[in-house]
This record gives sequence, structure tokens and C-alpha cells, in this order.
Amino acid sequence: MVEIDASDRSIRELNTLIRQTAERETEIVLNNPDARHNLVVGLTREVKLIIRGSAGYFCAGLCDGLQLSVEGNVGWGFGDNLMNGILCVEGNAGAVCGVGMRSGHILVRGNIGSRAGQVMKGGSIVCLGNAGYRAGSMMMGGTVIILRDAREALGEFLMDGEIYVGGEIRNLGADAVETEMRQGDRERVDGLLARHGIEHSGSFRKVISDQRALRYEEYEKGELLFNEASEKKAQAVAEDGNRDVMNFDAD
Amino acid sequence: MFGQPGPTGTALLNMLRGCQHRGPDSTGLALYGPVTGDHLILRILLAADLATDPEAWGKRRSLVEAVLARHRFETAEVSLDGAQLRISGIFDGDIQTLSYAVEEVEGVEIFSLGQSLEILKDVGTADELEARFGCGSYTGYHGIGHVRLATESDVNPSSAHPFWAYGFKDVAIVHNGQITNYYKTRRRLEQRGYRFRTENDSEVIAVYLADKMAAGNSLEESLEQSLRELDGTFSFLVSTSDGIGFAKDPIGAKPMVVYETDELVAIGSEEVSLQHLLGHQPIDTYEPYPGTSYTWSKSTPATVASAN
Repeated sequence: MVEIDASDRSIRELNTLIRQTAERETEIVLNNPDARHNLVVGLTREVKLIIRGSAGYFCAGLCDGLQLSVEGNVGWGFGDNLMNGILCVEGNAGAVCGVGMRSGHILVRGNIGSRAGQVMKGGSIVCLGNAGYRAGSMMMGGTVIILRDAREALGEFLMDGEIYVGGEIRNLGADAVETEMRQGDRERVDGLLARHGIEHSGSFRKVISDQRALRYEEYEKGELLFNEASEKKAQAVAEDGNRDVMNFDAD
Repeated sequence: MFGQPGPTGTALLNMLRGCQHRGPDSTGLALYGPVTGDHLILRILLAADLATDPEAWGKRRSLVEAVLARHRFETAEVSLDGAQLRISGIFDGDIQTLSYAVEEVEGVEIFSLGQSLEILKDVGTADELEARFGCGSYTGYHGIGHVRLATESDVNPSSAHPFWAYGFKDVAIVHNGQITNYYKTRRRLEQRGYRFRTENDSEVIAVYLADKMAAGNSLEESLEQSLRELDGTFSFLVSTSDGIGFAKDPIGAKPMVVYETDELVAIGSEEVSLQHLLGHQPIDTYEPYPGTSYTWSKSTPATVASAN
């Protein structure tokens, strides 16, 4: 285990030093973080890191494989675009926690601010406290679990993914709809909680996308051209067996 | 805001040093001292037009003193710091009439006027502000401070925050955001005879709230109304001689973090300001919900230091 002192170092120096240290160490402790911004950004090693104190904005953004524990609070944009790993916050998290995350798991033991999990694509966010307004707004996948209450416009314009709330829901956002818990849901939620060593005996309410707002009845012009091109290529593959032409996602 | 009188100057400067990265171009403080009878303090900029000639400042200073005398302001103490003038004295007349008359002196601008309020602001950092005005020695119950990153108006002392509610004693504001119904709000107030010194939307909020309070609303009620009547994205703190309040827009686009104990209330845009105030320790904070407002009063137990 190596201890790094954040005071008297610029964030750039600090993040470079953390990256270099992570190449040879498996556990790093960061002292005197002083709630500064952009701490531990872009760390793509599977390393254990403890921040002794609070972190500012965009802490642990763009990380892949990190096991982070923050002993204080975090500011806005915690775990921004997280690729993978497990991030835990002992205190509260500011707005847009886990924004755009693709995979990995975030735990906030306190409350989370507004718009948690905004445009997240995968992975999970667990909040043991209350969530601010528009939690799960525009999320495209993944799971948000709030053990206590959720404020206004929960799941505003979410396109996919699931939100589970243990307490009160102030109200639902546009295109969000409450649905019955299905078989397997509870097990999945308990599994995600167990990842952080948490058990919850209370019930959950489940919110998903109504899938009406951000869908179009008719194709747009560009979309038709794209479909046409896809069909041509599929035909080419069928005719001469050249699979190289199928190197794009036609979905 | 403190529960007992404390070092508000040092506290606010420390908070502003913590968040100087948010706004490197100007820094300012609104500090509140004790209220004594009809005692009034004016903080005046003699070079709002950025005139650099000390001789012109001298001329303006005597014109200001003449205006004050004409309005039966009994000057007790005058001190000059560069182009910024501090005058204290006894006055029991109409505050609006006095302040409009002083500002009619060409190139002169009042930064603050009140029985308790003093606004110290300039271009530069918190360290520069302290070196210039020695604001670290101020004590009191509460104050607000600001570091500015100019977005829509000039970088000069007049455009720095906090803004005084022109024409109303002891009301100041620091604000992060944009008021999108600025012109409408300003025109409505102008039609009722209020004047504005700058084209900054923060000044409009200050006058808007001061007008509500002058009409008999409490600070709390005024803030609640502002959430319905002001449009845009904003987080602002407003202070009076009695306390501090905040309002946060319904979209929640601007940050604000609150720390509150029985002895102290501290509010900042970021926790880093609170860490600089409280000496780097684990603290329990909360982010106020969008579309909410709250106030703290000197007459109730807790006190407040705030930086935006």
C-alpha cells in the first residue's frame, strides 16, 4: 500500500502520479483531497484506491476497473463515463452522479443530488439515502436503486433501464411509468445490493420507460437511406459471401 | 453565519480562496457589522468610469461630500483607499433620495449603503482583496462573498459581486446564473421609479427582493415569490442586516452546498470552500433541492458564512 499526499500538487501532477503508482501497486491511499475537482480521472488499472476525505467534481471519471472508496462526499459528475469498476462514497454525492456510465457499480451511502444516472448506458447506481430530482433522467440502460425517497420527475425521458425505489416517489417524469415487479427483479436488485454487502428487507417500486416520447412513428430520411444501404450490403454478403462488408452495426 | 459574533472577514476570505478556480477575475465581500442608531456607512467608488487621475477623484470626493451635506448627512469619518471611499455618519432621511443624489455626481458609484453593510470588491483574487482592504479583520454574525468569472458583462470593480440593492439599505446579493426575464423584470421596476447602476442581472434580483421586503414581505416570502417570478438558471444568496437566505431555480442547473450546525451555517457553490473554512475534516453537507429557498436569521440560534 502506498500513500499519496494531494496537498501541494496540481491535479495533473497528482493524476499522473496515481497512474504511475497504479502500474506497480495494488492499493493506494490519497490523503488531503480537499474536495478538489477531477481527482483520479482516467485511471484504467484494476487497483484499490481510498480517498481520505471529500472529492470535488468529476471524481473517478473515465475510469476502468478501479475499486474506489471515498471517505467523505463527492461533488457533481461522480464516476462520469465509468467503463467498469466499483466506486463507493461514504457521504453524499452531488448532481449527475454516474452520468453516462457504461458499466461498473456505484454506491452512495448518503443522498444523491439531481439527475443521478443521467444518460447512463449500463451498470448500477445504489443510493442508500434520498435522490434529488430527475434521477435516471434520459438513461438508456442499467439500474438505479434508491433505498429511500425520490424527488420530482423520476426517470424523466428515460429510454431504457430500470429504477427501483424503496421509499416515496414524489412524481414520475415524462415517459416514465411505474410497473409491477416481475419474476427475477427482486433477485437482481438483491444481487446488486449484495455486491456492496447491503441487505434491504423493505419492498421496492419499479419504474421503467413508457417508450413513447423518444420513438418515432415514421422513419426519418437519413434512417431510410441507412436501412437501404444495410439491405444492399446484406444482399452483397448473401451473394458473394464477403463478410468484410458487414463491418458496421446495422441495428 | 455564526451563532455568536465571529471572524466573518477571515472566514469568507478562506472560503473564497477555496473556490477561486471558479472565478479568477474579481472577488468581493459583503460584511455586516453592528447597527448603531442612525449611523450609516457608504462605500463609494470614485472612478466608476475608470478615470485614473487622482486629482479627478479629489474633485469628485468634494462633490460627494457636498451632496451629503445638502441632504443633512452628518459625516463622522472618511477614509480613502485608492479610488474607493468609505464614509460613515449620522443620517435619518430617505435612503433612496440620498443614494440617487450621490450617484448623480459624474463617475461616482455607491458600492454599498447601510447601517450595517459594507461591500468590499475589486478585480483580482481574494489575497489581493485582503491585502488592499484588510478585510480579514472584520467581525460580525454574517456575510456573503463571491469570486467572479465574467460571462456577460465587463471585468471591472463595478461588475464584481456582491451587488448592493441600489436605493435600499443593507441588502446585498451574490448570484451564479442568468435571469432570462431580466429586461421585463427591470422595466417593471424602472416604471416604479427604481434606478439601476449596471446592466447585470444580479443587481436586478437585489432590487427586486429589496422592493418586496420594503413592501412588508419577509425575506423568506420574498425568496418564495422570486422562485415563481424570476426565470432562468440561478443559485443566489441574499443578505440583510438580520440574516441570509438562498433561492435555487427549479431546473437545478447551478450548484450549492450547505453545511449547518448549531454554531454555524456555511453555504458554498462547492464543498472545497467549506473545507477551507472548517479546516479539512469530514463534514456532513447537503445540496438544496431545485426550486427551493431558505433563510437563516440572526435572531434565531444559528449563524451563516456564505460564498458563491
